[in-house]
Amino acid sequence: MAGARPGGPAVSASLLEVRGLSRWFGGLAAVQGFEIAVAEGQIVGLIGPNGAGKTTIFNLLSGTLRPSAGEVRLAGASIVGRAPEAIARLGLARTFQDLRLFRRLTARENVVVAAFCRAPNSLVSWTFPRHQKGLAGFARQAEELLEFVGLTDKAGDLAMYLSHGQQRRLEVARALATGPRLLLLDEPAGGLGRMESEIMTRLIQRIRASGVTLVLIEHNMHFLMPLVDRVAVMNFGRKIAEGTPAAIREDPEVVAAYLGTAQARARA
Amino acid sequence: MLAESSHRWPWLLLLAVAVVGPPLTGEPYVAHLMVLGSLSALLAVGLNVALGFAGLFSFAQGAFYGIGAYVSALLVLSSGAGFWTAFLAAGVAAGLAGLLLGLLTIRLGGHYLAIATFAFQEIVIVVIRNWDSVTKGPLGLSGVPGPAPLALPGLPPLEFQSELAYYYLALAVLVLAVAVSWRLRTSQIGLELLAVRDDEVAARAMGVRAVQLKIFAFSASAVLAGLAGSLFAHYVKNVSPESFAVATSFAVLVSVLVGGLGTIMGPVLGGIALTFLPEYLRVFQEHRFTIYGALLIVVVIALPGGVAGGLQTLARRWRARAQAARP
Amino acid sequence: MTLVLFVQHLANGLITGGLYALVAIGLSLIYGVLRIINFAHGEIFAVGAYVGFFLWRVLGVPLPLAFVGAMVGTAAMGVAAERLVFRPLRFADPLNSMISAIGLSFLLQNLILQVGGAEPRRLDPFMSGVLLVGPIALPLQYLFILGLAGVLIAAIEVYLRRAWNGLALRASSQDLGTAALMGVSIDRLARVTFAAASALAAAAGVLVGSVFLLQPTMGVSMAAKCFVVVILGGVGNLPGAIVGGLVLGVAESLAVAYVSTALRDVVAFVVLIVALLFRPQGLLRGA
Repeated sequence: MAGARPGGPAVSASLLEVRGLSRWFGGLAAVQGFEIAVAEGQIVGLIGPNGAGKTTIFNLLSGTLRPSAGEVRLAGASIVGRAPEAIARLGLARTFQDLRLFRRLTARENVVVAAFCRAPNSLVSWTFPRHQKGLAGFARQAEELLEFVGLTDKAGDLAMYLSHGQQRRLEVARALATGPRLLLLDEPAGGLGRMESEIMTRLIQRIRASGVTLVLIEHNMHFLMPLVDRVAVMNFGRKIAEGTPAAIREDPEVVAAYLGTAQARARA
Repeated sequence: MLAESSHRWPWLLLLAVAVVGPPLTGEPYVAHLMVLGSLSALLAVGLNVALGFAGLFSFAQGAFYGIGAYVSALLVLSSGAGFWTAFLAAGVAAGLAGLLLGLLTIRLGGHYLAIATFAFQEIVIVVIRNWDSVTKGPLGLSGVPGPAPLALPGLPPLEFQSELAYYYLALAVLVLAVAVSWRLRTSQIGLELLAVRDDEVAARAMGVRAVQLKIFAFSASAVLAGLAGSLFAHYVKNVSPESFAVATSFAVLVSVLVGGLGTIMGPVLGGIALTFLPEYLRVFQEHRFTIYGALLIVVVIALPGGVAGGLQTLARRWRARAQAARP
Repeated sequence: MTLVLFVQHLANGLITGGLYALVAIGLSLIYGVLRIINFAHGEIFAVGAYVGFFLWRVLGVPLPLAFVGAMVGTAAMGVAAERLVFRPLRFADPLNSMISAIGLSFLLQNLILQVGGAEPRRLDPFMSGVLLVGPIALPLQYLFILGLAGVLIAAIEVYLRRAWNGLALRASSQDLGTAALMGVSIDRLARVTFAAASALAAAAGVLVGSVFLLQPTMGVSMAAKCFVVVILGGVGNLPGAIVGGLVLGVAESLAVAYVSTALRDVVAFVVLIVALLFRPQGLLRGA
């Protein structure tokens, strides 16, 4: 059934394939008929005005929210209706726009707990004496990831005491610890200064180089456009355009959507 | 938090005091209080697994304690089962009750669990009070026998007749429970539970099996309460519903909060301290619970992190100042 | 004759159920508006009963006036409790407000014990006599209680629907932050909510005292039953609390009549389990 659409991208190579994804709250459609295909190794940007449904899409893909309708395939397997923890185990990880770290755990513990994603079920294994030794491997991976995002010297600090920029990077390290094939980053540069944005840019480039496919939500176009291969534009819960960054900049509907909101903001 | 596990000597010291202290005083009454203190500590260690590790609002610890006590006493009285069988059965029965309640409510979120456990607590007591044909109603069961002497190979049989001997039995169970709770806290499961406590949505998105883990933690806390209930029944020899009423659940909650939510030793110390404290506050006997209630409100408003949390904050400040003073 | 008996049991059940509803509405209201699980609500109900008893027995106030006095006095106490115990914790961890509520329930229960004594007390019935409907004899007192409960619940509905109050309460049931943005004073909202909930609980307390007995611990089992009612009706759902209360009251009454008197309190347990199993969102979800 996949790949039969004429003119569509080569779907068989897609790591993520989304069709007709919709979510209603009461009678209100937060997301309606969203479609996208992301090939392995790509970086795709997801942009749109506030309230356009971008974060809702992440929630639907990661299982945090149940879709009202639609199909989501990760590496060919349907993941719609699966629990978030099962989806994470299948190789889809995410960060949160509003920074949902484990506040009262240390930076290291935040990453270790996510790395356990690839350990056997703890409910079964915790009674075995050898279990404790097996955990050392995860602790080592956590150290490597903390180094990767530049937080080695903060490893022992509680997450709540880290700076905003450090918390953003810890979110990334935590998501990477689950060993994802597809990583969804929700406003990774949100609230970051220029220096920290540049650090994040390099981080994302290195993540891609390591073979992880990425989808990014971002408001900051200067940050986003140079990073991504393709951009999908959302407005009022629907995808209104998709293409290369250059093509999107010229798209009249996109310009209208952004101009419209800019005017509305100016009026308010 | 992990730092707590890095020093062993305070624990060993504490254990040494617990073993040697009561016989040194020579007072059976001290041993008696230590039995009750150990049972309170056992209940608190159990609640701490649910509330401190997993962030589950459970107000039914007294009910699980009661289920354990009655199951154990009834088994021995009616079927002639031995103490050890009854002891284990008490843990299993309370655990199953916890599992059932957990399966029904934990999916629904923290506030549902709080409401459901509160209702469960009261209803269990009412059932015990009114099910005359089995529980003998408000008067309760009397003549519950103590444990038979335990014959271990190569040792003289262990008797549990005196307060002191029973205290060592309770202490042994308590030490075991602390060891299990420590093992939980420092292993994968403990870290996962703490993550769920801090942010369940994020934890699940990172692959943590939150629902299973929470049901497990809740059931485990009920098992410990059930074991404590059995030890209680065969110690006091008379079980009546009032010992397991909602006030007991609240007292357990208070000892966990005072001792330090989520720590390993805090609940133990809290449980023992709150058993001894009223003995030294006999002046207030009549108004004890009034003061208790008022203190609870004041502590929560003035020290939102609990007494132990307040002390930790003070310690952190003191350390920071000491560091700042260094050149 | 069996039909007559059945109607009699039904009527008994509706009385108890109406009293459950009066208390449960307050519990549900406080949770729905302020997201506080008020573990002390049972004690507020008990305080109401004892205030009524005190006014009537000690001060010699006529029973109807004592009833009103208990509602007013307990509402004032509820407002004070909100101000002193819950407001400081409004934006703190929910565990803190639960513990605070537990502290308050300890405090109130023991104050009642110290002031009112441990022995059970009793109020005079509001009216005597029976109404004969064919072969069925209904005590006027029961009809009066059911009618009064209905009137009070209707009055609260009107009160809550009135102009800005009604709007604000419904808006904030969704989200306190949004309500604050809409210019609703949360402090005033909290005051109104606690006053209404406490007055209803006090009314139930005095009515219970005129049919059954007053005891210092009467609040605990009432609270437990009402938590079951709240779950049954849907947490935060007011019509649900009424229906839930009546269902539990009737179920208890029929179980006692047709199965065994020992079952009265087991019914609440069974209802709790069944509700959690099949309708965890409440009987009236979406209503």
